[in-house]
Amino acid sequence: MEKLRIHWNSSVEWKPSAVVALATSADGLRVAAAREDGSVEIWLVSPGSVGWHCQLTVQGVPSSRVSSLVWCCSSLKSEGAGRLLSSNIDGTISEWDLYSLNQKVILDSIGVSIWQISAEPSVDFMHPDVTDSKLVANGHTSHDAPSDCESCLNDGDDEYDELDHPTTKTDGQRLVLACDDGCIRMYKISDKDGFIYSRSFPRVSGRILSVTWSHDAKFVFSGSSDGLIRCWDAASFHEKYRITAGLGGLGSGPELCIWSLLFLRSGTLVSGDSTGSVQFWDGNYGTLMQAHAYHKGDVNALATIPSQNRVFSAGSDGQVILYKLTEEMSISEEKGICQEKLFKWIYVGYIRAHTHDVRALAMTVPISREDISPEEKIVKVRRQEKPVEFSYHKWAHLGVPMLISGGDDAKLIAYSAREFTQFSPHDICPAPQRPLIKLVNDTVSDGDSMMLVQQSSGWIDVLQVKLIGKKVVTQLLARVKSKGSSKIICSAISSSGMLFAYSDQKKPCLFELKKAEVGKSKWIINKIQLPKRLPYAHSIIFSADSSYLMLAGHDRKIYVVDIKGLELVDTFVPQRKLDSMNLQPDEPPMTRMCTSADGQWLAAINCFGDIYIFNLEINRQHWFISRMNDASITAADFPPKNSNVFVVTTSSNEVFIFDLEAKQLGEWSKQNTNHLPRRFQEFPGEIIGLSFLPSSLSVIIYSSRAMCLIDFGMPIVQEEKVQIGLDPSSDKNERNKTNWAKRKRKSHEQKSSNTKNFDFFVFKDPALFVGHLSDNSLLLMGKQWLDVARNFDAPIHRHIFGT
Amino acid sequence: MITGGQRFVASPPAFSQDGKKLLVCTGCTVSIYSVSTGMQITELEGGHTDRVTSVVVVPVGAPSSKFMSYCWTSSLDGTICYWDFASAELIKKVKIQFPVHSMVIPSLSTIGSTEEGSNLYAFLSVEDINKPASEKKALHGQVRIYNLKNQKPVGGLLTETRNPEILYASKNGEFLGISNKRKLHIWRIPANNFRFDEIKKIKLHHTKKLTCLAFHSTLRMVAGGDDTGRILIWYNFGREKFAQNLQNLKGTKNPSDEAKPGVRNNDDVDSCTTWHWHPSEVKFLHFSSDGAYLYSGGNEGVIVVWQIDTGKKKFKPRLGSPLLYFTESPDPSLSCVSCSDNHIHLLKMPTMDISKSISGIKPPFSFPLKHEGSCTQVAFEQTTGLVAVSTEDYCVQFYSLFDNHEVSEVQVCKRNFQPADDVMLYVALVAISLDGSLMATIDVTIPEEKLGGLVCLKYWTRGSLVAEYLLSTVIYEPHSDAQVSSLAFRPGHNMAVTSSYGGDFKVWVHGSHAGRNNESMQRTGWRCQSVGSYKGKPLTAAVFSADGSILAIAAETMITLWDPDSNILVAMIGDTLSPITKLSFVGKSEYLVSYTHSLKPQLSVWSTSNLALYWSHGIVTEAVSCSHDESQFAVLALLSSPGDADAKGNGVIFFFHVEDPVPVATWTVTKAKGGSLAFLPANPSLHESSATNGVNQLLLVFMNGKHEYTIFNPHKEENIISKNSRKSQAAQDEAERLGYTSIYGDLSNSNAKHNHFQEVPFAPSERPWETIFSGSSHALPPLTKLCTSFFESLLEKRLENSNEMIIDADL
Repeated sequence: MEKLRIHWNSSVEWKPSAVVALATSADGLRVAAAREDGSVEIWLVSPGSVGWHCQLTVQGVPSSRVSSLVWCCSSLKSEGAGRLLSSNIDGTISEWDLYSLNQKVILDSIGVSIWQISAEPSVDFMHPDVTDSKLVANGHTSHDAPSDCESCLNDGDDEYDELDHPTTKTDGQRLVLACDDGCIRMYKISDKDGFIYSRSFPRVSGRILSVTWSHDAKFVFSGSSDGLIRCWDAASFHEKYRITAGLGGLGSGPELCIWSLLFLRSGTLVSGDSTGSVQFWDGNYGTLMQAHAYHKGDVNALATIPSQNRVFSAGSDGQVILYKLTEEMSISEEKGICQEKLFKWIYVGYIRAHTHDVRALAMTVPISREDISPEEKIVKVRRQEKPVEFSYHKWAHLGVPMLISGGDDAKLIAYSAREFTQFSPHDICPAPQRPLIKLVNDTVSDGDSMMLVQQSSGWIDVLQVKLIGKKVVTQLLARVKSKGSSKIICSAISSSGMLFAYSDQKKPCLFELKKAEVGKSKWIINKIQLPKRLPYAHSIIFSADSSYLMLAGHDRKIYVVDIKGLELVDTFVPQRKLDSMNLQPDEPPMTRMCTSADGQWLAAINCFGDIYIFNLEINRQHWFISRMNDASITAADFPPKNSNVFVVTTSSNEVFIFDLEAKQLGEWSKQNTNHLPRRFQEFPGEIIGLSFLPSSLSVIIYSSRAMCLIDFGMPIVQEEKVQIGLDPSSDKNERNKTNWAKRKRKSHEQKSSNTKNFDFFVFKDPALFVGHLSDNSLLLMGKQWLDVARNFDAPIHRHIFGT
Repeated sequence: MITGGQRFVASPPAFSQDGKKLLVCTGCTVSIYSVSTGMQITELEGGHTDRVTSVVVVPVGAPSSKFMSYCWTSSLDGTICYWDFASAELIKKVKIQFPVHSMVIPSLSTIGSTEEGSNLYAFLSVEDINKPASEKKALHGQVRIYNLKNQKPVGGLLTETRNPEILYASKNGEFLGISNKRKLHIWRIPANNFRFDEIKKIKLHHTKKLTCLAFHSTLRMVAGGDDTGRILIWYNFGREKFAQNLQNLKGTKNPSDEAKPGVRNNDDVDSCTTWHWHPSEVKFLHFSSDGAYLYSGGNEGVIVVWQIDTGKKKFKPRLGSPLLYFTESPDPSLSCVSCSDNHIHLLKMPTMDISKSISGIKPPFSFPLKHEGSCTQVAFEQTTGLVAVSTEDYCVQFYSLFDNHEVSEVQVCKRNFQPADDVMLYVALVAISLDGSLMATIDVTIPEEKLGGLVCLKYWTRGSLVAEYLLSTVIYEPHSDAQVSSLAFRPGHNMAVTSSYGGDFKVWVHGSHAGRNNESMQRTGWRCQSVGSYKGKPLTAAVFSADGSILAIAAETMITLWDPDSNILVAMIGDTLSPITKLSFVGKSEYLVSYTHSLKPQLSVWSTSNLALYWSHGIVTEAVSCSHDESQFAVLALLSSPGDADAKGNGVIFFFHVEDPVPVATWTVTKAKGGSLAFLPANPSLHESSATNGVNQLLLVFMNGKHEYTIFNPHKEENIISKNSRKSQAAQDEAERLGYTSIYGDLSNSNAKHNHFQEVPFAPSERPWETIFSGSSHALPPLTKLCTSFFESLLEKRLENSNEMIIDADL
């Protein structure tokens, strides 16, 4: 095969927004991350650094900023995840419906900002078999997943007393809201009645910034902006005691903000405040036990592991700090035998993986359904060169608590909670909120390629891509902003490049791009009126000959619109069972669609990884493919040459080829899917796309960190060890990425010779899109993370010694 | 023979048990200083023949033995001595055979010294001299146990290390540790019924080289510092390995199934915390006696006080020099820190104010390479027996050679010193006039990327006190940007000369003619009187003759003679093979000594009367000193050629009579590289023999490259200079302060002083009461305040007199 020339281009704009809140779902499988622009992402938790996948993105209202997230257990639907609620700065409470992918306001504004929301810890005795539907996390302070028995096994001393559980509230789970006016309001949530106001606690001075429940739900603790922590009786609504949090009783003026509170089963209350100190209090009496002042900025979030003998704090200085409960051992044992044991919280260490403020922490205990055997202990052998073969499962045992942090630098970082200091953290989101890019070749405009860029912040760009010599030049042809700057959910461009469409949260829009006959601007955009009744869509696509527009509507139906006639041609209802005549759509929403080049097939994929194949010639659903190994689909496409073949990649880093006509796995897949090289299974980063070579059976699979070529015509060589040399010129700024990046780095200028199957090529900077311009030239859109980070607000000033 | 200038900070000092004395290892002896006065009380000598490496003070066991003052010392000569340091008597000497680098006696702290029956075990870090030094990888360091009672070794080796390491013991003596490369070794020593096979050991791992460690006083906690400045704190070390009985272990929850955060290699600790503040190597760690704080220090000269519970830091900055050791005294309000500039600062504890400093001679520092040739660090003030040493922190330290203590320090450049790797500013030349009334310094600022370079010539005049100098004139760039090669005062005149490599020399005079009565500083400065040059050649050395009539300037290989007043070239003398480094007139004779440094070293004596070479030797000369009256001079010669990189620095002092190329006497010395020589007049008050001889004998002082010096009489073989002079300096130990006085100090005993006041003749030069009490009454401070200041002015005068009286009486 001839050499492939890679053209690097960084002309796209990319402005990710900060992560403001995190919460772990009840079953510990998902983490919800709210961003500053109002969107919420659902991340699939993976036990290692492989397999993290952004399962869903729900675009919310950009004007209402989320202040905290909480998952409530839902008693009716025994689904593990529960209901995701968010409190917003504008005083509303929203529910994020993960089934219809929208934000519902369930509590209209109470007039004041809500800083935090905390759900009552509860155990559903009514359904003792449903162990997973216990309490869950709350916004900033995000407790770990419930301390169920499985996780207790790992941590020696778990004296979780069953008697301490609160009595079951049949009328729903209680929630407390920390309000800006100094009031804590209590609401009840239940599936029957919805969200009901219960009553307010007495109003106090200052703003209530943080709120948490004691583990037996008898008390509510609140932290306010005047430096006071109050303990309230949750039944009588009386104040039990109050704590002045300023160190030494001093400095508790209006300037001391208690940003975060955490209650441990041992009865210890932990507080994090704006002076950077993390303090441990006796929860019974409110006396100070210990104070640590390691943060150089505000302490924004606290978290603990299931056994609750470790506490993590994160602050605006970008540090995540571990504190551990340690027994104080006297130096001479003879005297100390009969003494009572003294325990102290000691500072252990910090990790500074974020370049900017850390806003939120969440603890998860991923329990994967995949049966990955726990990694055997590898004896470290010190040698000159570190082995290139690198295990991503190093701290990835099942049931191992993992800490996730998110902050102003838009990244999400995962840490091993158990071996916090031993292993470097993993950046699970190397390209947060990347602009979605679609590339079409051989367009009508002089045969150049055209590119459609969908920005997360509400507009789409149409760019012309020209290859001038060896350089790729992009030229902006058109920019369309959505109405009222509402969020764009999906977009598509036709293969001729002359039509493009998008859908925001209200309705889909179709545009035509025309060459101008007169006038200054070369191009004219015409809006084409779509049929009225079309709902807004989660996915949108043009057929290969640009005659049809297909939309996956939020009502879970798929609409086919004839562009010439501008009429609705057909409506599909995706179904699990092909012969059932149930026309009521009850399948999860489709988030991804592909169509084959010959126009026969339409593949629609829902967020859980189920695939629905429709035959467009007979306008019927052809096949239902259940999720592969319970993994989500990360990328899928039809090869341009062979329309009968459908290629998907999954979040567990597998590749499947389907033979659509025969309704079965393809030959290659049958032989090789179980024998994929280990390197591929440990694909660095989440796979975000496929790009087929226009004229051969090869595909390039890429994540934002690396790409890999798979030639389906070539055999897989097992255990091939391709040494990818260390790049000595790798600049220092990239060092703080995870280890593999250092080990497998190649300059992206280098021309890779595609001689081997599964040959990896690692990007120096995060890639946003990879697409073929022709058989031997590849367009790589990316951006240096430093350039992206420049747009963020500056982190707090850090003094460096000697400057 | 007087020796002095030893390093006080080569080994950690130790406090006596009452906290009133500090035992400092000074070379082969241990000097005992009073904590209250900072002066030397006595010296333990005669026991060791090599450097003393550690002092262990025997703690007080019972109240009855409160006045016991015993200590153990170890030395590189392979002996351990037992002293009564109150009377400075050697009691016992134990031979070890190996050079002892560090010694701890853990059992001392538990049993006390009163239990005569029990054995004393010393843990020694020794150097295995049987292994050849050429074997770089051989394990030269060993940790051995020695029974001091029966003077026999116990058991085998505890461990072997590449180099001998410092031993650290916990306060109660239960644990012992060393840092060995990237590991800490910790042993648990059974407190009672010591048996060798009961010693258990654990290792703690780190990824960097560990430099020091400290044990917590009450908790199972050990701190280690590494060479990147990190401090690691291990909690509950040895929970499994050091457990005393298995039942106890089983009673606790098994900690092994819990992850140990921060711990490497599954070490036997619960967790490990890392702190990082120091930018470079941590030199010492020390837990406070109550266990709440950790002190750390390193190269940057700041003591960091860590509050262990919260991790908060407090700092004691501006100690001005890299720190080496921190020692706490039994008195909780006192501790001391040893700095690498040969100072030991006594700190008042909670505030860490420096109450007293025990200051040794400051060590030499290295000049930037390309400037090395034109720098001298040492100048002698010959009348008072002081040496002026230019120091790294831009000062000139005046050090009394006879008394072996610092007299004063003159800050040459007003700049805070920051211990750093690259020197940006240094004092290059120091010259003191013959009578000691004038001093001149040259300080050089090295340009940073060719910007900001400056040479600065400063003239100083002596103040009222000994070695107190006041700045009189600053001359920026005396020779534009050229380096100044030498600086010399004209004996008997207020005149000085500077010569430069730029090819000119300048004669400077003190502008006293411009109205001496007018005391404004502008009028009485130094100014350039004349400028001269010789064929544009770089001028490498300049000197005045003893009577001040001739100025000799070396223009590379030529010596030119000038009339300093009229600035007329009088004569030229001959040619040397390479540029002359230093010139010197031999006393009042007509001869001139010069030496050259470069590849062809030469020592030459020139006759100014017939303008010719008199005689010469091809020896590598490091320093030359001429007596001012007689025609004798001494030469310090190196035994290796200047290009020889790994020269050991041994040298020879030749004592020449100018007429005779055969030396009158020779002495071999060590560490001669960078050394210097000077003739000193024997101070009659200190030196009795010269007074009896009636001849004012000259003494010769040799200061080696490490600023250790020896004063001896070049004319006589034996040692005739006794050390009794120093005893006179020993300040009277203050009486123990109790109760009220310990807090508020002495009440002024007006009666006693009044009596003295009557006796002492007192002539006030000024009458303070006239000025104090003058002024309008509403502007005056209250009478009580005025009175105290008035009386103080009187008392000060009297106090000086009384001190003199005491000294006289002692003599």
